[in-house]
Amino acid sequence: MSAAVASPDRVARGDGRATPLGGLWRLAWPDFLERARRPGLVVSLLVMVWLTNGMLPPAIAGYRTYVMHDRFRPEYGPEWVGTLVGILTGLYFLIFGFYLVRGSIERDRRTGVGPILAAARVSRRRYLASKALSHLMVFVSMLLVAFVVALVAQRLLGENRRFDPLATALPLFAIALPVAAFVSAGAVLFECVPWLAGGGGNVAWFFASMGLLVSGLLGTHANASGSHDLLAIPSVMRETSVRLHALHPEIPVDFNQLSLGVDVSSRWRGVAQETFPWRGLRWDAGALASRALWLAAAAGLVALAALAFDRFERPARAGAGRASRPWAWFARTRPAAVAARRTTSVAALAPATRGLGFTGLVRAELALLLHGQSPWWYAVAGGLVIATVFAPFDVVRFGLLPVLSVWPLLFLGALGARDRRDGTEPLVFSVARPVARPLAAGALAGMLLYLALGAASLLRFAVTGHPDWAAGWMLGSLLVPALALALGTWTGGTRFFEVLLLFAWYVGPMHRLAGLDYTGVTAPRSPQLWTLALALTAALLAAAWIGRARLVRR
Amino acid sequence: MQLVIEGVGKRYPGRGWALSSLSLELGPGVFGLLGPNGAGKTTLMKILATLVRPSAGRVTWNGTDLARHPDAVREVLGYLPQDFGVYPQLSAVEFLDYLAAAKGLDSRAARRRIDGLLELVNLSDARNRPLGGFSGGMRQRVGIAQALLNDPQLLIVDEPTAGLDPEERVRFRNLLSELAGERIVILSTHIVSDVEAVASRLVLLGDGRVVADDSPERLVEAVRGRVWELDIRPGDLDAARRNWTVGAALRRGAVMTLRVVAAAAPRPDARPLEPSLEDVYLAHFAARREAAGAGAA
Repeated sequence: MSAAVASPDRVARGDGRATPLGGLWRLAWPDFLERARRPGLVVSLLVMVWLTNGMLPPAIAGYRTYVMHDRFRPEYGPEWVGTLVGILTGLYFLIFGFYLVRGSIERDRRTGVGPILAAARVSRRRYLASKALSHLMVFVSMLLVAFVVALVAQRLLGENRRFDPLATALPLFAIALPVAAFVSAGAVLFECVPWLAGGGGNVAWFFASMGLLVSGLLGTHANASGSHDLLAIPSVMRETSVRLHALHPEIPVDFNQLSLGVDVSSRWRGVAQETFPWRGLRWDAGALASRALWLAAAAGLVALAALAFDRFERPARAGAGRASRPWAWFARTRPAAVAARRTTSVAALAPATRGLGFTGLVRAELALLLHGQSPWWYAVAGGLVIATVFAPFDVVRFGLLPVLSVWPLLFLGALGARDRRDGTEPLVFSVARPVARPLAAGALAGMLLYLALGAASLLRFAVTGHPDWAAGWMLGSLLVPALALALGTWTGGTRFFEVLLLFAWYVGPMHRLAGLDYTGVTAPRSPQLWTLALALTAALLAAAWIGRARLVRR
Repeated sequence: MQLVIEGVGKRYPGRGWALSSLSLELGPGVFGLLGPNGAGKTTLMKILATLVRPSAGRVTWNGTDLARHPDAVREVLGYLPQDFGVYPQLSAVEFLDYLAAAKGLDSRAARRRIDGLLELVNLSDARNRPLGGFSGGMRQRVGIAQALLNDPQLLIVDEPTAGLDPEERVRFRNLLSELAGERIVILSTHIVSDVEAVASRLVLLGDGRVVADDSPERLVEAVRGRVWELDIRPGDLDAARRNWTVGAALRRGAVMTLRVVAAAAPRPDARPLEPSLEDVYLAHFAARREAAGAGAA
């Protein structure tokens, strides 16, 4: 083989007959392969198997996923299985799928692939469309798994043994695929808008998805047509209610008597759900067109993203280098006065004296956590803390402390993920005691932060005789950093921590659900829940320890 | 002070042996590790830095097995990896202070040492700028400074001069020479002139094995009489590369002058040359590769 460099006229340039879709595929497929060859996708597919199976509880199960008038649901025929799995999978994609797929543009930015592509002739829109298509392929692979599991589950459940894969596939894909496309495009858009590209985008999507969901359900209650709802929930609720009313005229069509989603309650124990035959939605041209509208909306989001996309002019997110350092003094890292005589040899260096070091490490971890936060962050945190001194107890318990508990959300996740994100692993893993010491320092730094945020409240709780609330907040102060450390260590990112804490916050402190109230102040905690919270904290710290030990010596 | 590598091998699942049966005994001094991409240099460095467990054999530091007691060497280790990141929001001083805390150094003493190190690597003026805005060479110098934070007895530097400009490269070489006295310095690089300048002993690695292990002077001496210079027409370059192990090729008008490594004069008009370390490298690696290629053909 010749070692000479080929002259330009010897480099094949192609015949220029590639179709636009073919070109898009050639960009999207390797991106998908990059994900498919990571263990993450296999885990996602296994989770999908478990979820799909859970979406179809037997009539005597202790939980429900669809309940009408506390008693009924359609029987598991091909149409209902496809419809229910389609809706619930769409729901999963809408709320959590976003977090599974986003990050591929940031990856291109970080790995340096992005600038290479930017220097090529590929247009912004085509590049971003390929990213959305790659996201969609991930979702489609999950949908295919859900489809197969749904078919098997229908046979095993045996309520209706009619085998009609097309009747199952049609509602499943017609409902979930547009959701997948919309979420794929949304993930691309959020990565292109600088202020949505980080943790702020994770929070924004959570509330946006909740908004989309609630707006669809409101449409149901207002008895509007709801045919354009992202998840097609109003249509399904209406059709199943009408069918139930036809079979049982004494039962009115009342959407307030419907429940969709996982509903675990002791009242279902030992009570079999009654079923009725249902032949599914009519998928005529109009119905399919209403679903296709969401595909068009997805294309619109990609076009919008192309307007915001910087074509890799911006450095990787972690390297953006925010300049604000109001707490720099705390880290005691201000330089000493530069020595009058310049150090020009190793022999002239100050000796490297060993010290206790741990308090310094805790201080450094705390400084790293708070580094780069804007003055606004401190101003709001300070305002909230001051408010906890004067506000009525109920306002402190149900308003201020829950808000303070998520105030550090966007940077606390870095506790366990920072070294992998910033590529400092080889530096921090080659020091003595690289597992337990930094983990303990990180957990303590997080705990100190939460204790500082809740200091005034803790004092008030202690003075007014509410040690249980004080103890609850103190345990939460360790539980949340432990969660950040464990998830960051195992996932290498902050996304799962952000989503999980936000979800727990929304369901727990905000809805006063004791089981998920990690703050320990909004709902009374039973002894069992105390034990569970303590055990969970210990388990998370152990998981972080095991995860880091695994990373340190591969 | 002794680092002993006994029959060390590393096997990666699906990729085979990156290192096999490698044995070395190192005392104070600068050791250069030289070899082509994929020779196993970085794997060896990671094993010595306790970041990777060997699949076979063992490494001991002053008689202590690193697999069982990795902290024995971590306490005295300075490590500059080939690829590393920084916390982009921190300044150089803050980053070094964090790593000093991680290494268990006394805070006040560490700050004085950091000041000195930043002067030593010529970053005093940029000490308070966020690392996110540093060039590759500046980050590399921060890496060098962090490796020296704890005054290491064992200093492992993997491709340390990558990204440095010529002036900084010379400065770093001088620094390594100064460090060599009472510690073990292991330097891995592709840049032959770097090891030539500072290493007292050179280990050539190829396909995960030791190909040669001697002082640079003796290795150079071993190829004396095997380095030649000859002139060809530019159009004959491909043929020359097929037939001989060609080093530098310099075009002078209508003539191309080649530096060739060969056991005997490749042509009657070939002129003998004074050998260098680059010729040693070519003699060991280019010749092996070409022999392997010819065998495959």
